[in-house]
Amino acid sequence: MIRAAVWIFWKDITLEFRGRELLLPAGVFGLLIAMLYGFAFDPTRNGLHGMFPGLLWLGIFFASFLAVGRAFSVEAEASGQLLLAPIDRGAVFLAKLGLNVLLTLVLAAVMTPAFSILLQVSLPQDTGGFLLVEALGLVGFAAAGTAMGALSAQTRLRELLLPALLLPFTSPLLLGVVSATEGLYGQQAASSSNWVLLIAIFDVIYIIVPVLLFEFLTEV
Amino acid sequence: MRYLRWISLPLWITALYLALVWVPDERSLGVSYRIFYIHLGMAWTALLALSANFVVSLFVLFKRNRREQLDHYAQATAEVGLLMTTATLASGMLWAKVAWGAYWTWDPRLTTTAILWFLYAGYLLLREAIDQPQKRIVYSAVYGLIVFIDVPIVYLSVRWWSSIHPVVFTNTGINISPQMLVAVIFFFFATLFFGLDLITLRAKQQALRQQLERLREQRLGELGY
Amino acid sequence: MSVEKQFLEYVFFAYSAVFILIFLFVTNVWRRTRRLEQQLIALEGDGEKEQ
Repeated sequence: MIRAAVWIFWKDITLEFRGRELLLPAGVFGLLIAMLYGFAFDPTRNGLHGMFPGLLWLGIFFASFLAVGRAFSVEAEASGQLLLAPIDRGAVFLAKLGLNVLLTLVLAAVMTPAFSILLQVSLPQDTGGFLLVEALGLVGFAAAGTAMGALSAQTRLRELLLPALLLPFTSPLLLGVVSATEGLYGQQAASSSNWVLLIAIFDVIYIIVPVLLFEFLTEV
Repeated sequence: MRYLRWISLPLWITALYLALVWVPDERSLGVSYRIFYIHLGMAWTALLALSANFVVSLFVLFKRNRREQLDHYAQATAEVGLLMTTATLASGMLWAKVAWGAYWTWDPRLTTTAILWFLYAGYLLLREAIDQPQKRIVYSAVYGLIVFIDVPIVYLSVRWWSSIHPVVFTNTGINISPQMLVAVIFFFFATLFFGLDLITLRAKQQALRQQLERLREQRLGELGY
Repeated sequence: MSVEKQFLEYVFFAYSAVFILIFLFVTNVWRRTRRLEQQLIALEGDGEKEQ
């Protein structure tokens, strides 16, 4: 199962390197969001410190939408040939999850410094904690996005439906990462560790449950 | 099931009488707290309908030979649940205006209900958007399962979040007297039986539509199309 | 306007909002069921005539 997952993952990475269909548009969009926030909120006049965690995470989530939705649409457009291959269905899900985690991590790695520079807010002192929050949050978002992407890829609307399904679904995750980041800035009485725990629970549930249910999706 | 209607109708009339006339006014909120009865009845029935959707979705996945009939119930429970959630939100917002002075507060229950509404609106959107019947059945069942597990996480996160950001109203709370409890129970059973009636009605309608489609295809086949 | 009367108005609004929602849903379901039944009868009738 792991071998098959790695092979599919490798296939998608190779495709992405050849075509650059996902990261380039999503990355440009992510940087544009930072620019537009700068225009809209004018960081030179108002301090954006209080809003920065929310702005950053919303930006990353929106840019990630462009990337995670494609993972399964690509297969749907290839008329589902991958799902005809004699491999474990869970492997397909894990491979797509791996791809989405990688994509969102790269996006966040580009966007976080860009947001910090353009909005003139320094990143939290506790770098290790911040990286942990980012990694856990993005894994959760990628897991939820992969599950919902698998569902929406088969619809008439494809990626158009994805935000409507994914946004309410990931709302606890958004609350978690924003609050945890605020905690790292020392803005909250409550510590970030509770929130990190909540994000971790979300991650575990939404990696395991879709793997178990993915079998059913591929039968029909 | 027609008898459900004849149970829920007298229950509705009694419950309305109890809640609007029989029960005395509450001390701090006066008449306005009478919204509470219909609000609570709707909210509980909505939660039950959506829980039923979860159970039916499980059965859809594992009882392969009865998928189509079960799917009618999955759709019906989601629709009735969404209807009741909308009613909960509408009555809740009006009550919040009276009790707390604003239509919307970021109260954990209110916020969770709103997110619940979006999640199940998504369920119906997903159903609408899949053309192939078999696929629609399985995909919406999987969505129903995934989403229902999300609800406790949403509630937990919103509660933590709003405990950090203090809300600016004083929640006086209602001390429920025995009389009020009677009215609450009547209202709950009235909405429950009504909800069950609606669910069976909608499921039966779906079965009818399927029968019609089958017949139509068969006729077209006979006519050589 | 007295507070009491204002409260009554809100009670009225809340109950009517719920009932309007339910009414719309129920009439919609009933109308569609009726239409389906009619179509079904028409289709079955057709079949018998031609046979």
